[in-house]
Amino acid sequence: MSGIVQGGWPFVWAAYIVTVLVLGGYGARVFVLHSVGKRFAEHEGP
Amino acid sequence: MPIVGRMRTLPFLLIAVAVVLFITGSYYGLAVAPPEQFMGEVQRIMYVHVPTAWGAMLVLTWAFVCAVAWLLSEKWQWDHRLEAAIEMSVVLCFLLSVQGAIWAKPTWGVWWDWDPRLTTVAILLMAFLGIAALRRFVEDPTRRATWSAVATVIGFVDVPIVYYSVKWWNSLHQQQSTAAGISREFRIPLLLNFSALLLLIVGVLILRARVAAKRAEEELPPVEDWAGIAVEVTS
Repeated sequence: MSGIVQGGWPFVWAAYIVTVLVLGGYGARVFVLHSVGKRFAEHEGP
Repeated sequence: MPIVGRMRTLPFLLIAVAVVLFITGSYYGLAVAPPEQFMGEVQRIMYVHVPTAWGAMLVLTWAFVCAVAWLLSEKWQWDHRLEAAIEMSVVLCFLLSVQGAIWAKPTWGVWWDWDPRLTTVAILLMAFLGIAALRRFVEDPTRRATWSAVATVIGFVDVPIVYYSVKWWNSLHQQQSTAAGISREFRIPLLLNFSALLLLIVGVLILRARVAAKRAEEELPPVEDWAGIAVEVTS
């Protein structure tokens, strides 16, 4: 036991992948909701 | 370009800049910055975990501001902003908990511990998940706005407890990091990723508030003002 955390790259990649998936997924969801709402409003017209 | 057109494209511009900053910050954090003396490579998780924690605290504070502003003014734009902030708070608290678990396994030897910091963040996540659920179940727009604003103010009480939990109790979690207290090699990716997350949060909050405003237009009938002219209730 050296007292230093050994290895760890799989955990680093896991943290980055989870971050990209969660933020990217939520961002994409909001983008789709926004686009659908805008298209619906344009289709309805004044 | 007219100012209205510029405002419409602003969130997309913010998100595009955020993506570029995140790619740069991640390259620096994963490939350029050295491993930390004791935590080794695992410390690189901090370049996403710490910005997420700072971002979550800011969004939760913004939710509190929106809730108080709605309760005082009853202007609908504050409710639309509150809806966006509540949802973003849930996303960031969830992400924070998952990143924390991934960091805890190689350093503490467990995925989860009933540590004061972890427990208070879990309470925050559950509280805002409950508020988001409340907004889905209450059909009357005014009741929905008021109840969720009151619940947000109550839920926000946990935010300073989360912040001070590592000082007040004997916590496994390390004390708060400040950008000034760490060396330059570690500070650059941390600040790049925090800037990226901040721009992404602002861009997505604007878009999500617009979605809420659009739904409110369909829910709330236009009211007639004293002169008999239909006025917009959502703006």
